Amino acid sequence: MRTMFACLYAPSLPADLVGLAREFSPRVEEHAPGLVTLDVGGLGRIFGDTQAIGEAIERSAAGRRLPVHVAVAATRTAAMLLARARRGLTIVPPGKEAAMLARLPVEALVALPQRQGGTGVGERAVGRSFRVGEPAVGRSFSPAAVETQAPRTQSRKLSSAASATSALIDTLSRWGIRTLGQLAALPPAPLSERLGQEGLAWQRLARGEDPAPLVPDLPEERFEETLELEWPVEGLEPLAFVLGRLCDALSARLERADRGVAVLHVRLQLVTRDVHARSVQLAAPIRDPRVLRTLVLLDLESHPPSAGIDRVTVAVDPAPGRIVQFSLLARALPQPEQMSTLVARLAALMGDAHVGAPRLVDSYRPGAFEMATFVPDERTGFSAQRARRAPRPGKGSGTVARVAESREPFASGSSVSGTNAPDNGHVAPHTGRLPQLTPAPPTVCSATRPSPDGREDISAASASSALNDRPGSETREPRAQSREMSSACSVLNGHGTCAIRRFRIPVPARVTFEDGRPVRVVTDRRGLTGGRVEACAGPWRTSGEWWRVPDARVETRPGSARLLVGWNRDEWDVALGDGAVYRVYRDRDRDRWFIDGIVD
Amino acid sequence: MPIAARADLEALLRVRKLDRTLTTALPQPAIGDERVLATGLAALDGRLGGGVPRGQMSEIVGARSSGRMAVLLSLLAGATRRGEVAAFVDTLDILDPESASACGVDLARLLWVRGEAVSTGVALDAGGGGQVGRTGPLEMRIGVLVDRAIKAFNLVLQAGGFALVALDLAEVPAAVIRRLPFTTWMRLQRIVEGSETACVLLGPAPIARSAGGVTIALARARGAWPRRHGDTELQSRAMSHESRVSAASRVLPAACSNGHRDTEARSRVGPTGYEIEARVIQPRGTRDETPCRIRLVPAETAGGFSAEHAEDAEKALLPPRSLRPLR
Repeated sequence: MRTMFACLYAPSLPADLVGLAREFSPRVEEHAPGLVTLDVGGLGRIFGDTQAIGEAIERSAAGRRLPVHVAVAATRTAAMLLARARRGLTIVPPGKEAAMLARLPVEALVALPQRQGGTGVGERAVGRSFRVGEPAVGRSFSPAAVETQAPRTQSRKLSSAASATSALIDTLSRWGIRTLGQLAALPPAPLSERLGQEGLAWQRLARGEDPAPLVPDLPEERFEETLELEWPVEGLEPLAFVLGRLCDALSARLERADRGVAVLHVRLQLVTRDVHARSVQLAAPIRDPRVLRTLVLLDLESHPPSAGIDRVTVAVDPAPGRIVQFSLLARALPQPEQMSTLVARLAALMGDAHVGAPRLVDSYRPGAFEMATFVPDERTGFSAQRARRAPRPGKGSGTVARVAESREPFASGSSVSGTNAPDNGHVAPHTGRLPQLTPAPPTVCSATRPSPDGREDISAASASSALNDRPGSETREPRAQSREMSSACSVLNGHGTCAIRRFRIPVPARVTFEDGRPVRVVTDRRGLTGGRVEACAGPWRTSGEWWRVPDARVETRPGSARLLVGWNRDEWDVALGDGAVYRVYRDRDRDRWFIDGIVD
Repeated sequence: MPIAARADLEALLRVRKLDRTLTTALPQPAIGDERVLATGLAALDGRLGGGVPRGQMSEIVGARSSGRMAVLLSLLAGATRRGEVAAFVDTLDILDPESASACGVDLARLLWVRGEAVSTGVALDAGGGGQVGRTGPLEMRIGVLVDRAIKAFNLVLQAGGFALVALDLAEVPAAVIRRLPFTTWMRLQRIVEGSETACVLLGPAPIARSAGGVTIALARARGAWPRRHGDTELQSRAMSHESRVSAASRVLPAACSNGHRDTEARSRVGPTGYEIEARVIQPRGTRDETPCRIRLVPAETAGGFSAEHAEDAEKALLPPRSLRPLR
C-alpha cells in the first residue's frame, strides 16, 4: 500500500478541520489551528485514485461550508507546503514532490508548523542541537498564537527563533536562493559547511521530505457507563450487581486503552430526584472490576443513599497504566489493589480519619502529627525517607519541595488532615516558613543487622552515605531529621529509645508540690491511680501558636471536642511508686494538671 | 511419654495437618535468618535467636514503663527500614508518631489503624462528663473498641503482605481481655500461620501466642533514673530570646513560625535513660533464668532547667510585659 497524505488548510479561522478529516481517516494530526494532515493511504479501495480522494474531501468540505485548501501528496511536508500555497485541490504525483515545490519561495518554509517531529524551522532555530525526529514539547505551533499564550521565557525563545530564521533567509537571499527548487539543488556538503545541520534540514524540507512520521491525535475517550433501572433499587446488595456490570464494561475499556482508575465517581439518581454523588480516590491506578465494585460498595456502606435508586452512573478519571518492576533483592510490597481494598474496609470499620500513615508536621506542639494516605513506595524505606527529607548541599528548598510533592500520588485530596477525635496535638499542616535549626550530629545508619556474635553490624557504606547526606542547610522538617539522627545514633550504640504512649485526651490529675517539685500525683481515672512521686525531672516549659487565633485560648472542659489552638505548659516526667513513669504537665493558662502520657 | 507413643502422636498430627503445633518439630531460627524479624536490640535478638519469628503470633508483655512500646517500635523500625511495610492496630489511639519516628520507624511504611481514645470516667472539674456518660461504663466502651480493633487486626492479617502486624492491648483492662472468647486468638493464629507476617500482641500480661511464637516479658530495672530535681541546671539558648523578642514586636521569624520553646527542652527521662530487663519464653516453653538488660535512652540529649530558676529565666528572656502580644 502506497503512503499518501492529504493536508487541509483553512485560511479563515476557526474551522473544524479535525472533524472533517476524521470522516475520512482515523489517522489525523493537527499541526496548528487550521492545518491538518491525514493519512489517506488506504482510501484507494473506497474512493479510487488520489484525484478521487481529493475531490471527495473537497466535496465534504463544501458540504460543511468550509473554505479549505486541499493537497494530496506522498509526503506530509509537500502536502502542507502546497496546501498553504495553492487554493483548491492540488494533487502531487508520487515522486514529483520536489518538482512541484520547486517554484515556491523559500519563505514558505517559515510558515511550516514547528511540529512534524520537532523539525520545524522555528524550533530548529531555537535549539541548534535538536535532533531530527525528537518529539516536540508543545502542541501549539503557530508562533503568533503561541506568543500570546506562552510564558515569557517561551516568548523570548520564539522571538529569538524568528530572528534566527529571518537571518537564515537573509543569508539565502544574499546567495541568490529565492525558491525551494534552488535550495534543493544546492550540493549538501558545502551547504552543511556553511549553514550546518540547519541548512541540511531546510534542504530536506525544500525537497518535500518528511523528517518524522505522522503521529495521529487520539480522541480523548470518556470512561463513563450509565444504567437506567426499570425498578428502583433499594439496598446495597442489588446495587452490587448493577455496579458489577458497569465496572466490568469500564474495566474492559480501560484495559484496551491501557489506563487505570485514578478517581472513581459514582452518581446515583434517586427516586426523589436528588443525586447522591460519591468519589473514591485510589492510591494507585487500578482497573480490576471486582476491586472497583468493592471499593464503591464500601464507600456507599459508610455513606448510603437516602432513597431508592433510579439510575446509576459510574465515571472514572483515567490514569496511565501501572508498570511494576519487581526486585529480586527486596520483598514484594502488597499490591495496590489489595491495599486499597484493605484501607477501604478499615476506613468503613474505624472511620475515614483513623486509617493511614502518620506524618510529622513541623511544629513544637507536643504530639503533633497528621494522617496521610498509606501508599508505600517500592524504594527501600529508610534511605528513601532520608532522600525525601534531607536535601543535599547545594540544593534549594524548592527542589526538596518538588521531590516531596512528586511522591504523593494525589496530593490534592489524599492527605487527611484533622480528625473528629478530640486530639490534643493534631494540627493542620501550616504553610509558613520553616525554622532554621542546627542539624544533629551526622552519624546515621541505613540498615543494621545482628552479627553472629550478637553485635550489630553496621555497614560502613551506609554510615558514609549518611555523612554525605548531611544537609548543609536544613530547610524542611529539621525536627524530624534530628529525631531520625538521634534514633540512628541509638541503634549505633545498641540501645533502645524511650517512647511515649500519649493520651490523646489528657487525663486530669491533681499534683501536690513541695519545695518546687511534685511529690504526689492523683487522678480519678480507673487504672491510673497515681501515687507518691519517687523521682522527677523537669520542668520543661513550652508554648506556641498563640498567635494563630488571638482569642482562641477559650475555656474548654477536659475531654471536650474543642481543640485549643495554642498551648502553654510546664512538663514533668515523674516516676511513681508503682514503677511507671508518667509525663504530666501544668496548663499555665488554666492552672490545671494533666497526665499527657506514659514513658514506655 | 514413651518415644513410640510420642512419634505416633506426631504422625497423627501431621496427617491432620496440625504439625505446626508441634514445638519439637519447629526449626530453630538462627541470627540473620529470613524467617525472623530482628528487634534491632542486640542483646534481645541474641536471646530470641535472631528475632521474632514470622508466621507466628508472639507477644510483648510487661507493666507500664517496662519498655514494651520501645521494643515494639524497634521491631517496627527494623521492618520498615528494610523496605517492608508494617501495621499497628492501636486500640485506644495511644501511639505517639513523634516517638515512633525517633525510634527509627519509617512512618510512610506504617499503616496506623487508630482506635478511639477514651476519656476519664469522672472529670475532676465540675460539670465535666466526657464520652463515658454517653456510652456507659468505661469497660464496656473499651470492650467495644477492643472488638473493633480485633476485627481490624483480622482484616490486616488476612490482607497479607505486611512484615509485622501489631495489636496494642497494653492499656486494656485485664477483665476486658478475659471476656474475649479464646477462639479469637486461635482464629488469628490460623490466619498468620505459614505466612511471612510476624504477629505481635502488646499487653500487660501474657494473652495468647502460637506454638512457635515467643513471649518477651519486660520489667523496668531499678536504676538511677531520673536524676534528682536539684541536679538539673538552667539552660537556655539564644533562639528562645530572639523568638520572644520578635514575637513581641509582632514580627514572626522563621524560627518560631510554628511554635517555640522557652528553653531547649531536651532531657526527658534523665541524661542516660534507664534500663529494662527482658526475659524470653521460647516456643519450647523454656524461660530465661537471667534476664538481659537493655538500656533505653531518651531520643533527645540532656538539658532542662529547674523551677526555682524559671522565674529568673523568664525575666532574662522575656521582653517587657507591655510589649508582649495579646493572647
